[in-house]
Amino acid sequence: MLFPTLTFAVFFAVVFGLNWGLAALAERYSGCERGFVSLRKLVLLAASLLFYGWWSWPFALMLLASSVINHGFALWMAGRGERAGRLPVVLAVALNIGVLVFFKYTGFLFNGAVAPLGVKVAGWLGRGDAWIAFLESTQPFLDTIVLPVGISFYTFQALSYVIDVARGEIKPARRWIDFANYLAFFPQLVAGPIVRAGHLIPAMENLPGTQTKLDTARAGVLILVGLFKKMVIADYLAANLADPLFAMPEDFGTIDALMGVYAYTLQIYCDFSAYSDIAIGCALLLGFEFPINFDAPYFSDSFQTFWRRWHISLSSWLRDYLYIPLGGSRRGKARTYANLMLTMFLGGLWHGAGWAFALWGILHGALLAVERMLGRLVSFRPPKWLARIFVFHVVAFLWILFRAGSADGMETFKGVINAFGAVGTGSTLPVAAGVAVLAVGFALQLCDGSRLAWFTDRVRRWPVWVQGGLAAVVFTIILGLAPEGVAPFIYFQF
Amino acid sequence: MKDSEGRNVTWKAAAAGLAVFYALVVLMNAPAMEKNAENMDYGVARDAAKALVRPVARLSAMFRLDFLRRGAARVRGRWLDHEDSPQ
Repeated sequence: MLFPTLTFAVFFAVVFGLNWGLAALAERYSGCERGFVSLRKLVLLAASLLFYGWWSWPFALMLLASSVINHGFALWMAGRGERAGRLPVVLAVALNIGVLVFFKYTGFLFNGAVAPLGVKVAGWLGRGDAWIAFLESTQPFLDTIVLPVGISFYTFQALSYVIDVARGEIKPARRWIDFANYLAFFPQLVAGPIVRAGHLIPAMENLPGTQTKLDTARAGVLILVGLFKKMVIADYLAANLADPLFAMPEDFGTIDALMGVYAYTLQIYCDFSAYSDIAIGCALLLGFEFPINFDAPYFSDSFQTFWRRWHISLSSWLRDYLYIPLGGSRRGKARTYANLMLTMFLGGLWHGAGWAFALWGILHGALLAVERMLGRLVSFRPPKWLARIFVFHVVAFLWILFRAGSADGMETFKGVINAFGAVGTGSTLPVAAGVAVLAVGFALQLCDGSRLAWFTDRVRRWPVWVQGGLAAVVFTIILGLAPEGVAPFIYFQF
Repeated sequence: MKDSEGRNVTWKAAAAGLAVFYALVVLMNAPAMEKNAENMDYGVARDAAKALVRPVARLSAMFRLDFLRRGAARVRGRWLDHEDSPQ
């Protein structure tokens, strides 16, 4: 189910009514409070499964199975304490990563590594024909593997739960349903933010009551900003500037290549941050608070700052569960740089199964390492405005690799780079409107974090019916400005 | 949620705001919703959706309540749609 659709609007209204209606009933009939609370949790879980099952019921059942298995591991670890040793956490991590690898990387590993290596070995052994026949017989099976939407996100949430329980940082959820609601909670299920177990499970155990004050102003502003980013800006940039360039880069020249790359740079920001904004807004209306996921990343004056502001929930996950356990910066300079590279390499692969994603991650890791090295060796610091322009353009250039990684790989990347060299080729893309939309997309970063607090504070003073009325007006304008139909969010494929 | 600010609302007030939002959105977009209903895949769902939306769409058309959407669509048509864009 996609956020900007009529189906989701109806779904959300029903879930909102049931969530708060059951909360009111639980408080009104105190004798049956536990029953109503359990029913409310069940309704939330059913809603999340319906949201996910709208796309695929078998995978919704797989999500449910994941919640049962991971909660089982957590109980095993908590029940046996020190005596459990490292076995349960190793098994839990191996199982979660194994499922992720099977669905996401089997085709890539087989076609990208096993098959070409096998051709060489089989040729050397004189069994080339047999190997080719084996490859042809396995390909139909590989083609049947479908990537479950959001598996990378909920696998990382499950890992954060079992690892935190193993570290003794949190206790297992009191009941399985509380953990299942944490893992499957529909606002952030398919594209984040990756919310930590320690943050959301307590809220799922003690659901917000009817006296909880809801920040409707912040929720409304976030949802409307998100819808504008996605439906008007991201979809325009994709259809009119980025997609044409990446589909046929040989048809375009320098100006178009520049416009297309800027367009993808802002499309991916507007698309992904829109999902986070809408998710945070919807969760607020249901009484749950998520951490922010974007904080004006393209205003960053260093690569380190960029990664502290882009997809914050993933960056911090990688830092806490990969970079620091690897030794972080505590084991000498060389090890620090290697840890950075390895973390970013795996972060790149998390996004997709392809060498372009891996290379994208490695290059970002290298940039972080070089920046750290230069910071120690050189005392000169460029002016902030210059650093911001530099960081923005390097990040934008590396998005070419990322975008190519989700399309035809390196050929597309080379095509776009060649287009930069086609000086003098006239522009065929809509330059004037394109530049205006790019400027608006860039400026939308001013809505991230607490930058809009001054506006939200004003809206909060208005009566709720005025907030609802004005939101309807803004939403109608967004619907008018948006093209027909809704494109899926980019991060659904990860 | 931010109790200290004292301006946030309970779920009942939020529900009222949401109801106003949904009602106005339907009123201001009913003609477009009626058109979308015609394109629905399933016959029964299509007929039900059309039957539900039609009276509101007439009311909306009578008082020209969809002027905002039409105005925004005109802006899109003039500035953002590119028939010659290579899609």
